Amino acid sequence: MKVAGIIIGALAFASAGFRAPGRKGFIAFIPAVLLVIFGGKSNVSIASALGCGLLALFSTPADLPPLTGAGLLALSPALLPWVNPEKTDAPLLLLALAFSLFLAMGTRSMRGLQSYGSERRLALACFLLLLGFAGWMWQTFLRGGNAFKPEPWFMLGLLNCAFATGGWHKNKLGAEILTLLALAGIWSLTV
Amino acid sequence: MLFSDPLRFLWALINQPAAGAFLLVLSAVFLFFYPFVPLISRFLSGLWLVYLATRLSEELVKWTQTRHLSPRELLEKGNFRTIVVPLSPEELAARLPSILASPLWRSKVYKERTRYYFEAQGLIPVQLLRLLLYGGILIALLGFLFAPLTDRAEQYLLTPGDTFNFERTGVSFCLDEIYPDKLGGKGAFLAENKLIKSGSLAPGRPLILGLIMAIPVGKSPALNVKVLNEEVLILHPGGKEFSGELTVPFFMPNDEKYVFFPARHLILRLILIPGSDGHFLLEVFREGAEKAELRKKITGAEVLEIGGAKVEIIPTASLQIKLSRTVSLWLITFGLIVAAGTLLFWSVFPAGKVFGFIQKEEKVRINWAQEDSFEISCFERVLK
Repeated sequence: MKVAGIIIGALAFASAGFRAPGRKGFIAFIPAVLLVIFGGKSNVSIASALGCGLLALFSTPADLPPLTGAGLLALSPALLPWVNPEKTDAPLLLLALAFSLFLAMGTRSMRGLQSYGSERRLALACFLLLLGFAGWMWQTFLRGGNAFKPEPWFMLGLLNCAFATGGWHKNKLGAEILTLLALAGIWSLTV
Repeated sequence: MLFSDPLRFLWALINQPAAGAFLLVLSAVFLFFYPFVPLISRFLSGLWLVYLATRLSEELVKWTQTRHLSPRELLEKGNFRTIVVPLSPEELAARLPSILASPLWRSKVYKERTRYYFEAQGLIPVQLLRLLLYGGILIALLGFLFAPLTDRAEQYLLTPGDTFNFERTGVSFCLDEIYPDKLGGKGAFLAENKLIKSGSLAPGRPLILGLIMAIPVGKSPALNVKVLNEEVLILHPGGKEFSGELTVPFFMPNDEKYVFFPARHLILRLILIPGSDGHFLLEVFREGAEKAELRKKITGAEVLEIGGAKVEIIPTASLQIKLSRTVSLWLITFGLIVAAGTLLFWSVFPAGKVFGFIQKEEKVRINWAQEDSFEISCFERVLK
């Protein structure tokens, strides 16, 4: 599972790099290489970088630099000192994918790129967040008998949804806040 | 309006999507204050219920009013979006049916005088999607709010052979075995002393009987005390009587338990030694005496001669079992899945009505109005 995630994520970035000409295409190989080297240190990093990689693969070449940046940010938890590499739970990985979509949208908007369909991707991120939350709720209940213990990622997820539904990501400041929130969400999942 | 017509003011205030985003921010901020979560989350849930009920009724009214209208009747006076395309109106009119392709869109393109018009309807009405989204979240919230009324949970410390009655359910749980090397064991649900279901239980894999679940949440050391005849033993604190054998659970280091042998006027004092990895201190007192007759550290199974009786003492374990009946969790899951499924459908498939026309001035443009708040991506294909 872990190896598959790394391979698919790296291939997604590399394929996106091949599709774009020149320097834009070349820099997409950086997250591909870093994912192979550091991905193994955090499963959350693999899932979040995979999300950005797949988005890069299905986007236009103009979108590639911000999505490459989002991929690098998504990989950053692998280098954080508090990372818990044992975190492999499926709900957490779904949440990491959701945050990676928020992160990708935020970095795209920061570059002033707003193409049609981006709002649908935010809805997809909210879908993953809801599914991840439902899965997490059952998992914590079946393990410890308690379902509702608020954790930092839950609050960050709510804030991301607020930004997405409020459309604040459309202006530059909102996009920066969305990026930071999504990054904090990915980091909080690794604790 | 606030003072003259407060109800209308309140309606106008909460009946807008921005109110939902504001409530999301408010909920997230208050969740940071962990000690107040139970109180605040219920207060916020109340606000959410008002908001969602308002939105639901609004969408329902809108849906009943507009569902018979054609896209043109509905959207002719709407806000039009525009996109410049590098095609002639005739080429564009020929390509539009394939862009708004069946079965995802039900579309028609027609010409009136010199202008081409098009109308399309997505797979599902937008109002229905909104109803499902808000309805799903409303169900999840109701499940959360009514959890104290619908759910029950009790926690017991059980040793093998113990049975506990789960009150007001008519079901009792009996622990048969504890796994020595991991958290878990084997148990059974009984009703009127008849076996209903038995099986193993471990964290993440509870024993389930309908809505009732038995989940092991902790394991602590215990001592099994066995007298070779059927002598009466009394466990303190509690004063529960046993015949010939009992298992003494320990909750924490330094925990003290007493086993009274009334026939022999002997008291066994048992202490869990802190930081000892499940070792115990055994002291034997004659009734009324202050000094122990025997003092011994128990690290493994022992057979001792105490007051003329052979007593077998075996270190074992007790399992902390949580018995819960959780109606709310199923309700919340159902609500979340409805909301998530709706979002997935919304983000993948076209929804709502679209009306537009092809305009030729200096450049050729597609002008269209749509019900869906999401951007429609299919017109981009013309540019490729």
